[in-house]
Amino acid sequence: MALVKTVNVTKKFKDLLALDNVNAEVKKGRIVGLVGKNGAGKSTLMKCIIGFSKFEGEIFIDDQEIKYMDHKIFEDTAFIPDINSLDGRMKVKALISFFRGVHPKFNDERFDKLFATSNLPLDKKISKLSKGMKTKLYLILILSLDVSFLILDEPTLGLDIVYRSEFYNTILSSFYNENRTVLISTHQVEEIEHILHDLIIIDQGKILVNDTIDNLLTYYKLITIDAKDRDKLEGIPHKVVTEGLSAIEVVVPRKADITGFKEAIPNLAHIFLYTLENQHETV
Amino acid sequence: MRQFKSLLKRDIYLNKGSLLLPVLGVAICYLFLILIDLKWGLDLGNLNYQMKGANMPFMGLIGVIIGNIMLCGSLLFITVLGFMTPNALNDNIKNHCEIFYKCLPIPPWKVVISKVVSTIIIPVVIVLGLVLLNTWIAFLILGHTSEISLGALIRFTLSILLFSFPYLLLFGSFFIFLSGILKKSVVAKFLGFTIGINILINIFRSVSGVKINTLSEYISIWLANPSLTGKKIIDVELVSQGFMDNMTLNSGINEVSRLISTSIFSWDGLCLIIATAILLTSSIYAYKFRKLD
Repeated sequence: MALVKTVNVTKKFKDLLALDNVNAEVKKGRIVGLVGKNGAGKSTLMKCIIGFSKFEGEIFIDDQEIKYMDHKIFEDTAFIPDINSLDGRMKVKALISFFRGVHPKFNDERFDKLFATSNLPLDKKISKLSKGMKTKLYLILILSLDVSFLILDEPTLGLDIVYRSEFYNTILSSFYNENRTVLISTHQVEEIEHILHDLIIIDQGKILVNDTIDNLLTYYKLITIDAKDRDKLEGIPHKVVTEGLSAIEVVVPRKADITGFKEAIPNLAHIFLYTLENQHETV
Repeated sequence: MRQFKSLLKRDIYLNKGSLLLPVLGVAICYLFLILIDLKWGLDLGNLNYQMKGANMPFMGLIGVIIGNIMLCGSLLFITVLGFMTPNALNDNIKNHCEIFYKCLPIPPWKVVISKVVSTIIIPVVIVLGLVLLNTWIAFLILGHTSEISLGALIRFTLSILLFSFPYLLLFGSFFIFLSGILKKSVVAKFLGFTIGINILINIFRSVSGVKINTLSEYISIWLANPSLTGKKIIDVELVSQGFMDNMTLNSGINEVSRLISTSIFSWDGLCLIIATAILLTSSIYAYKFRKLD
């Protein structure tokens, strides 16, 4: 069942078409990756979903049509933007106390658990924290909410590799259950592919892919061929993902008529690159 | 209620510097008086005022009380209208945290009401405390020079504050509204707009010869008698008559206090409340539908 449904969503910034007739679905209880290049329309789509941006078309969350700037959406939806926007004037302690007081779905127990492992200083002003610490605090606050829909726009920007891995492997799982839906946008698709159920690929404001990971992995294969056999790819939609001196790795549709080479399952980064290069091909 | 309490607590926390400004102003005055006293041995108790031959010992006390009201009132208006309300709804933009607050399930009306309480009501309460403290201290030092009772003095100071409050609420709401539609430099933009209109009217006057007032002149005329219905806001004759008709000094002051404080319970007072309500409702919509950067 769809939690989010976008119907013919179009968004223009003056002459720039940021979203072009977007029809997409985010199913309930799934972790969905929203992947695209810089400026593909990921953040714009997320901002339209939470009503922060005006658009043509319709968006529904749980069958309720989204209204522009409606605070009620945040009663059961949380959003982390791609820029850190915590209030630098407050101390960590004061911000936590404020957040706890204003959000009716703040889960003290989960917060205490997450905060205990964070090493964040309580008495420091937020403006004095490092970029990574600010992001950490933001994530902890948001993941302490018992909301059923979480939207993360590049959530790990500025975090070191250790915490990024910890976030995707353990912290996010402390929030997620089958009643909750997570929509994550990122550039680093390889970091999140092991937790994703579904993938949406967007480019130039158009949805190229909106499918389950299980399905996507059956549509493509990764083949390793000798560099001299490159001519055998002619006429076959493909994307060279690794180019060695003697061999190359290529993503092709599983049904493509090319056999006799070493085959493997491609990862999501491979599928993403293939999709961008073969936008008009069907698999 | 819990949500509003947290919101208000945050607003007080972020405005604590401005809220302490009147306290600081009064403290500086006290420090100044103490320094004068230490240096020249100022004996306030022996102050005796002569006005055109009439010995009016109570004028010293009344003068100090009026000075106290003017000082605290000025500090209040500067704090509220100069610093707090013009930054009420756009401080999050300036501090790059607007999106954080907009992602919380807080109704915009609660945000605006919390701003009204933290930037207008609380400063009034602080200044009220200061005024009463100053009145009490002035009475302790100068009270023996006249027959005025402390109760009459307190009623007088409270009546002036009660009379001024709806105006402060109106002007404060006006600046809160401006902070909802302007992202920064509210006071500078307001002054720039007023000066710009004045220049345009002056040019129009000199070119066409038509006699019309500039915006500043209209504001000055209105401030001289801040009525929205055209009637006299404080009827000086009535107030003087009320004072003279009373048998004792204290009952005269009490009558003046009653006339001043009740003058706001009129059509003018109602107009002020309606204008404030319109401005605050507009502020709620301005804040709610403001485009995010």
